[in-house]
Amino acid sequence: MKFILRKLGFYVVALWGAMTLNFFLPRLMPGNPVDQLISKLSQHGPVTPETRHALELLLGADSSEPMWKQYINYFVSIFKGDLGVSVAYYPTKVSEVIGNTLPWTVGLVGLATIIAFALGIVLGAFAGWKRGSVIDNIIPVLTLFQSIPYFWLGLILLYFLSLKAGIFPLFGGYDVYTTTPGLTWEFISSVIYYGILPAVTIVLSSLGGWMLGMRNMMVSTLSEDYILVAEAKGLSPMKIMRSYAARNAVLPSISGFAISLGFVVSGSLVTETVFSYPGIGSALLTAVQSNDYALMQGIFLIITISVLGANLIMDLLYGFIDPRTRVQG
Amino acid sequence: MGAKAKRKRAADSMIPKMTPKLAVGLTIVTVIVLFAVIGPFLLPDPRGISDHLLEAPSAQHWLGTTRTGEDVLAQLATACRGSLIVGVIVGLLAVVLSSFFGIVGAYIGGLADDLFSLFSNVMLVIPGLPLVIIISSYLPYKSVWLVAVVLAITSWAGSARVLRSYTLSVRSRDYVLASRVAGEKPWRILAVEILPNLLPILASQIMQAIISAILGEAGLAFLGLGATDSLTWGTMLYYAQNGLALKQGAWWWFIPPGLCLALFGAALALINFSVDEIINPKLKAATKSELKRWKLEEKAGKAKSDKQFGTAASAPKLGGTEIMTEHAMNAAVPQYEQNPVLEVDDFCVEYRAEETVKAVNHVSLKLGRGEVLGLAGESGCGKSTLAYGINRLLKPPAVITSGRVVFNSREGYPIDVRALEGKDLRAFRWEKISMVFQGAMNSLNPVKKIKDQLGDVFVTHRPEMDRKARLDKCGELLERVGVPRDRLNAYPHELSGGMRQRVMIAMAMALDPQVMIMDEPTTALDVVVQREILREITRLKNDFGFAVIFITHDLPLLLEISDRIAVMRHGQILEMNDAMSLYTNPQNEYTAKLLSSFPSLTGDRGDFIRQGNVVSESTEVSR
Repeated sequence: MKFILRKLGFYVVALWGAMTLNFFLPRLMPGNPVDQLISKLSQHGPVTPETRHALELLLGADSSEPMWKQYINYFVSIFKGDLGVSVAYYPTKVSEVIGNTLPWTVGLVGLATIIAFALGIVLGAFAGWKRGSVIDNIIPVLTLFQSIPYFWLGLILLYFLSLKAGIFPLFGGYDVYTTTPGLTWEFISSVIYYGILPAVTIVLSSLGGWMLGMRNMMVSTLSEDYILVAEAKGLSPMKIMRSYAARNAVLPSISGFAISLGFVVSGSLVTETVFSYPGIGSALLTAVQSNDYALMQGIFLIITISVLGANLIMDLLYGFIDPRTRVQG
Repeated sequence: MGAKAKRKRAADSMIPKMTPKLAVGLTIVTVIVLFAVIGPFLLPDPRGISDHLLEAPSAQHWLGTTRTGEDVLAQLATACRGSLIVGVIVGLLAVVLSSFFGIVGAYIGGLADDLFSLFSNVMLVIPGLPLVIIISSYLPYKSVWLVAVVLAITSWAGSARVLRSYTLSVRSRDYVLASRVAGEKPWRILAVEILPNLLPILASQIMQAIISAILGEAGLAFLGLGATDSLTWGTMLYYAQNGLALKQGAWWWFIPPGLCLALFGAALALINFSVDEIINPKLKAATKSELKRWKLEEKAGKAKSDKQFGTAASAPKLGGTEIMTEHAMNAAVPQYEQNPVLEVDDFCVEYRAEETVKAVNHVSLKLGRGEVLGLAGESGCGKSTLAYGINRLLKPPAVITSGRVVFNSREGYPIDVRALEGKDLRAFRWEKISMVFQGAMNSLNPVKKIKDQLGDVFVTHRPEMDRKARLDKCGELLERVGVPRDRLNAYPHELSGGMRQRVMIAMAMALDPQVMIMDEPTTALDVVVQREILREITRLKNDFGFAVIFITHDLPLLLEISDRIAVMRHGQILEMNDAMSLYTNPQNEYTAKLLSSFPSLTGDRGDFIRQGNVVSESTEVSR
């Protein structure tokens, strides 16, 4: 219980840190983003004082309110779910833009990460178990994939598999001409078909890291005494590998999930822009291109919250499978 | 070895060995760096436009041209330079930041460490690239330095965490503690004692930081957020993407920059493999080809000894029915000669490392049923190697080069242990010979409950037992060694050192083995617990009648519990005799020296602890 509370406490602090960063960034930067935004917004029509006030809250400006009051109001409006109005998608609200794009990203990146993680752990376990085997020897090749930028790998796959071979679509999240979003088989199969290439990109790029980490831990674990004991006990090699070696070697991979997840998410965001995938990464690019600060900040917050959430789940899972952490807290 | 030589050796271990991986990595890095340094001078202006628009590679333009007619090769050279500069700046900045928060925090400890590590952990879980994107989109004009600083600020945290945990482990090493006690200045300890040990890990962190910086910059530039007017691999890709290079099939435009990036990253990763092996020497353990060679050597050794002792047929495998000739009971012949449970003949083990070391050198011994044979000797004398060799647990580079191990099971058939393979060998282990390992060793898997670790002996060897019977049996075993049954659900870390060792003894008794090999079972325990465990072992041995090979460097302890004692040195048994005779009348000079090296309670070297009359009392304990 104490363990869970500590973990929750840490993530509350992390979230507060990210939100505070989000609050101060626009205020510390040169120039006045609010004025820039207002002038852009006014091209779409008259700007009401409420909109202006909301933007000032979000991005800070020469408002009459003192900083601490702005800080409090900022938190209040975020907890109300009010992230302002998007310029790029005017007059859609930022929260709505995020609501439309986030499921795509969570589905794509989430699924691809789970596949890459699971595959990496299994392959890494085998590679570490049999040093110098075929699986072990493909690790350097996979680390090559790891040093390839996600978006470039996406470009290459697009070039060969979509443009040259015509197997996969060139862009988009589903076939916009023949299907309409909904719970129909047609739509779902189209989503899967369109998602394969972006997902393969993410899996290929991140697999090597998971695999190498697991393999190295496996090798270290194999020299532990309890492995020798298990061998002396006459357990079968498969049993030793599964319930002694891999069982223990997987722990650091899970506790190191945080480090890698941020990296994977960052890579995936840029990947989305290559595939024009209708996820949050493409929205971020649009926001960047049209200086839509409100949307950018909202997306940053939402990504951070998602990553924090995923890490929290992994941390709690870790406490579950490593009994030692529960005691030490 | 002189202090100088020692230091040289330590320095050598810090330098990676030249392996194919390392050579390839270094070559690629060198080529790319040279290209970045020299290329821009030899090639035309990267921004010079011409009327050769979007042309495929030709003799004039080796890598073709862009949509505005710039030479791709010339751009590539300048972009290499740009990317490498960003990478190196960010790599260094990030390592400085992470060293500050990781090393300094861990070294000072206390509140500073708590705050530093909280700060790095928070920075770690905030995804870097989105943050960088936001920061850079607020900045209308960005110099390379500015981009580098932003990238460094968002990427140091992971490496700070690695450095922190590594520093913590170095900090608690003896020589660091010693200099603290000696009153050296903190900065001096940090610079002289701690930093040198962190060098490999720092090197690896710098390389990782460079890779991730180049990748991060590429991502940023690809979104059009790179440094103003800079030319890097990322900006090349940005222009290629915006120039619709992909749709027009201009592969020469977008493949080279990404390929350079990938090659450079992969090369650094290859170098890192070698550095990792310095940080964690375990990683360079035997590979498959070495394992194969080891297996061949084992086979050769086996073939040789088959010739020596006759083929395996004379001593059939497990399950064989041939019964060894019964020895007529004869009071004059000692029990271990009449009815040995284990016979080891001419046993040799070599360590085939850079130089071959004979760890066990022509050892022969017989173990009687229910007998306690003590195996004494200094560390490195080969006593553990002998014990592991008997149970066929040796790993490369240790090779059994000759000898025979015959186990005479009480069911009445002999087993040629060296002929056992695979399933037969696994069935033999623990069933016939079980082991208790050093108390200090992590013999128990820290993340499995006691009942599962006891239970999997039965799952493997008694597959017919059901869950409940298994649990009952495990509980009974624990009670047998004086551990409450409810500890079945405990994890190893919830037990004391003595309890853990009791659990190991319970586990060793699970299948009612005929021989138990105990490798320093009480070494790491305090004296009181040590006593208890020894008493327990003696009691159990008397109740269940298994024979014990008890390995230790503690000769007085052996004198108390053993029937016979073998003294080992340099892989050979120098002397083997019953405990009393060995104590009162050592035949070998080394034995005498060993005996005299233990101080007595009265302070005279030579007559340790007890006088002769007490020995007879202590031998009673073992009876």
